[in-house]
Amino acid sequence: MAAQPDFTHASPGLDTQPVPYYPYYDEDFFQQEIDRIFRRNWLFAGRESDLPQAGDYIVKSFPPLKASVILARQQDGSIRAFYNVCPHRANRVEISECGHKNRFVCSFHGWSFGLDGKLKHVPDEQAFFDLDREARSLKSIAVDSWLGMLFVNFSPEPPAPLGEWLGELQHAFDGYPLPQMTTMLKIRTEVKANWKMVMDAFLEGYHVVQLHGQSAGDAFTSKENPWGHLNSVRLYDRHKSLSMYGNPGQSATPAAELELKYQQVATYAPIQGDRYQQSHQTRWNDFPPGVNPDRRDDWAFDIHLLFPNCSFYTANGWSVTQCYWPVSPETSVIEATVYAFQPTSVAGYIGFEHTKSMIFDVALEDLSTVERAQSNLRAGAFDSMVLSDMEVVVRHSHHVIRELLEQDV
Amino acid sequence: MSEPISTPLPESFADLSGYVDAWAKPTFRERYRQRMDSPQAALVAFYQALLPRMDAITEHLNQYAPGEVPAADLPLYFLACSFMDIAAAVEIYEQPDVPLGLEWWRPELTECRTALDA
Repeated sequence: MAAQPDFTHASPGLDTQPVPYYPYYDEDFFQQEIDRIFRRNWLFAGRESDLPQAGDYIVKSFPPLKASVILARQQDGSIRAFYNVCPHRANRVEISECGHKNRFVCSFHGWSFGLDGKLKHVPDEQAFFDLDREARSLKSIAVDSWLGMLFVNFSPEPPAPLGEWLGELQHAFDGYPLPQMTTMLKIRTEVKANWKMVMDAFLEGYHVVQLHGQSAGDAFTSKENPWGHLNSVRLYDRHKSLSMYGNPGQSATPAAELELKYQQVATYAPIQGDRYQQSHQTRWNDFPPGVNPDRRDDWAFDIHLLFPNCSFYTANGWSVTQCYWPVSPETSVIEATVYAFQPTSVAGYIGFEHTKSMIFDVALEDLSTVERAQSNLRAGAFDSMVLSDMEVVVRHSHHVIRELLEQDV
Repeated sequence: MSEPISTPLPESFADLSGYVDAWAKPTFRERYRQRMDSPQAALVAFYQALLPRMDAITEHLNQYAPGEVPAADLPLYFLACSFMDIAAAVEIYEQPDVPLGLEWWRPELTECRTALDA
């Protein structure tokens, strides 16, 4: 077995002490997270391909900000974002989740707004008093895109540009074919647990042997790596990445074999088999530096946490975004979206059906512990958790948030 | 809830007709609910009937492009999807549901793309 890595000691600023529970439930801490983190960072909103044509729009809610946002494709091809709030009497302007329009009309009194958010028409406008049409247009929110992913920023001041905010990650995925992948499915789950309780459950591989012992089989462990130790981690100022070990010799059930045969993309496999390479000509050196950065054959996928709450998974032939949205200190909404190359045959869709059901089953496993743990935090048994070296990303996540909240405003 | 599918299977798949009522369901959620509502013995029987027929089914359906599967062949497509959706219950869990898992009805799964889409 390879020498035990020590990611934690190698990370400046991290100690090895227990991590306190209170950030998982404290109301003041929660409010500060909203005001100082969620209101000041770029938040995942969807993909450019969700609104391909001028006039296309999507409506996205952001629970921590108690905000609904319209993102609309402009005539010049750019995308603009607005609070979905009528500047007249606060009604929600657009009720649908997506569509195509030339203008948005409020259903309350009929105020209408252009794709650019500008106030177009006010019925019986003469009855108002010095109406400032500019100030009573839809209120803009900063929006920018990266790898075809759209991010918005609710900061009251002009935020750091998206590229600067991404830092080391900005060019790590240049060429990664996410824009060519189709949105295959979405899973939305409301849970009675703090958003970090859920996020932390997905930021380590230590749980795989026990929690996914049956479903994952030997996909993430082997004789050489019985605990599925991570291939590597990269901890940045706020973001972080981890690379999951994958067993190149993993076994497959009959249905998983059919999945591979019909779809030519395995669910979780460290895809290095000839069948896949023949169809996609994949070689590690063709990968962007941020995908399987260690260039190892025993690799499954990477998780990149785009601070504060969006996990972006990179793998060979599929990708996932999973956002953890705080609703209250002890409730959250989890939104996962799965992307893959669109099947070109009916068989491909039948193969993907196995991917779909495996993702769903594993999600039921992943989400099974978080409410039980949340409900135990104030039982008085303990007030902190101990974390192993393989949970260093969880430790880093708590460290970054505490540091940010302790800074002077 | 959608209407039960009454279309018979193509003649060469008549041996699977007995599974149409229970398993030819058009959405993941309906198929997964059927998995949850079925005794394990019924899942095993369905699995064993479908496994040796899956290659023939996909070969038959592959004569159509996605989005162009005729209505008469949709029950066959949904049976194949059901096989994929219940396989883990037979091959892995040996019970219909995920042991100790979150309640299955809580995550809302939206299928953005299926073979019914072009």
